[in-house]
Amino acid sequence: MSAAPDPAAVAAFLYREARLLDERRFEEWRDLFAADGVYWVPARAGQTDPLHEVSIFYDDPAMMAARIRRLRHPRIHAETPESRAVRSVSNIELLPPAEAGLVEARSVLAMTEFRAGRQTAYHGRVAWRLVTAAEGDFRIRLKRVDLVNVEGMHQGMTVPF
Amino acid sequence: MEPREISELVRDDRVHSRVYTDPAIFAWERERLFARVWLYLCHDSQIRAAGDFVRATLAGVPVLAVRQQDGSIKALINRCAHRGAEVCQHESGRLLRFRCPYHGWTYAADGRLVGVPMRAGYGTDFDPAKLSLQPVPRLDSYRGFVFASLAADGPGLRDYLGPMASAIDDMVDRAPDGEVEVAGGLHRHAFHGNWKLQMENLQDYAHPAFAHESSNAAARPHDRDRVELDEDDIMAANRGADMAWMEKAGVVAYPGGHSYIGALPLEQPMPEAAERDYLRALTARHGEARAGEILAVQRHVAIVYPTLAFQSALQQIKVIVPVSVDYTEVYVYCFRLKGAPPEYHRAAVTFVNAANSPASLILTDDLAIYDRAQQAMTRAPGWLRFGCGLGRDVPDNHGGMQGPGYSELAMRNQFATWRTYLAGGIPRAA
Repeated sequence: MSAAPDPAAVAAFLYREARLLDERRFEEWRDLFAADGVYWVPARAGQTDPLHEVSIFYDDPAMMAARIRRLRHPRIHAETPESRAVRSVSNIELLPPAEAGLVEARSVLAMTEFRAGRQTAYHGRVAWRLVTAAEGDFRIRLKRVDLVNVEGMHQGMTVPF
Repeated sequence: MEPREISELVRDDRVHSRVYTDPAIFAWERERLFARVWLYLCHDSQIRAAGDFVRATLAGVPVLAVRQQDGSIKALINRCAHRGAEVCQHESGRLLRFRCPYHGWTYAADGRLVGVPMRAGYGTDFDPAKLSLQPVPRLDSYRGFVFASLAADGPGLRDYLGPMASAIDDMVDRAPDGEVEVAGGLHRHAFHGNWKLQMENLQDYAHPAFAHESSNAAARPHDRDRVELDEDDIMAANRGADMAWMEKAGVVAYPGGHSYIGALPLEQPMPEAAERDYLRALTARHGEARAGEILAVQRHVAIVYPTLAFQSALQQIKVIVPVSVDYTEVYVYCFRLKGAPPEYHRAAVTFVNAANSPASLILTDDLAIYDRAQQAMTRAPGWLRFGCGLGRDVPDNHGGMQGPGYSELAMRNQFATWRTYLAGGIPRAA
């Protein structure tokens, strides 16, 4: 295990993560998370506590599994017709790792979603905490998405960013 | 459209879709309903110190709720007397003076105009005393929940709430210290539909088995997932698969449009030690018998007509802000029971997320359905049916009527109240 992660390998991992969501390969996307991995979208800029303050998404593995089962249900009205989205990942920066095997990174996400005849743009900053799983491969311990319009009025959100 | 014609759109068992889609009717609602009732403004705990303020929207009017030096609260219309700009742009904060960003007219926290630049340019008849921020005519609170009314006259708050003040009691009584506070943030969401769609949905036990089928199935992964409905499904729907618990849960409706539905058969798992500590604290305050009564109140959602909903046992409220005939904003606030173990607040946060986050597995289906209902009603006007349970409701012990959970009693009660207000009347008290 090398001490410094390869920036190209991290970028490739983040691109693949975004593409799996774009392609609605939700189960494969979930498998990118560590066994205790969390997907978090805070409900307030600068939020630090997901347990005593509400969040837009705070998905531990059990919640994520329920969300994905629902996305596969034939009568999910919020996804009829099925939505489509494209995610662009940019501005990737690696931070000094806090411990060996850990990768801390930031990126910027731009996502355009087309759902129920309406196109919506979402933008945000993403904070990643990854663990090295194998040479050039990672698992997500935390993916945190801070939406630029976090305190705005939201339409329903069905698919993770 | 005149109010007399509007009355014709509401019958005992049906309502015409125009009440959801006609902008002229929405304008009448502003004037005859929202501007005459008591609307929720804020909670005491959001503005504790002198100068603390929060913004709110009452019947479309931008308002500031401001804590005064003497501890009272004033609701001031957030519009400069000079050239009409909002004097305060912040959502909340603490200010002893509000200075308009446009030309610097400055108001004290009680709304008095205390500073006018270029004062010498005005004539001798210029009287700052007549140019205060306009106060909202009436303001009152019940156990920390602050309401305001744009009407100078009308029933007082306690009369207005009637037996539905129990929705507030149900939350506050559960706090071992006898108080609740806004804590844990808020969710904001909107939909492209009329506000009444939301208020009906909050009292509707007939929809979850269908509207939330995908979430129910996600919680029970062994369920069959099929695209086509077969005969078994249709038979199950006709029987009403879960009518037994709906009978038991029940719905109770009061004069004034208020109502509540009984609790869902849900488990609220709480760590044993936390539950023990909580019961000990609640019993210490109230005694065993009273604590038992408080916890025996089992309601899922209570609404204070027209735009406020309580999930008291789970410490959240929903404030509905009708923006236009086909666009509605919703604010969901989480509360903390003072004196309860921290696990209780964590459970409330988890529940608020599950039920009311914009990404909730439940809410998202409702929002999608409101949008579709609005679109279909706009394009294909016609009558909607609210007859389920009609004629079978019986009186309850507090001046209301009750029926089984699947009854459309609460919606009929909302529309009967709506028709009274739109015709210029005031509903009778319970």
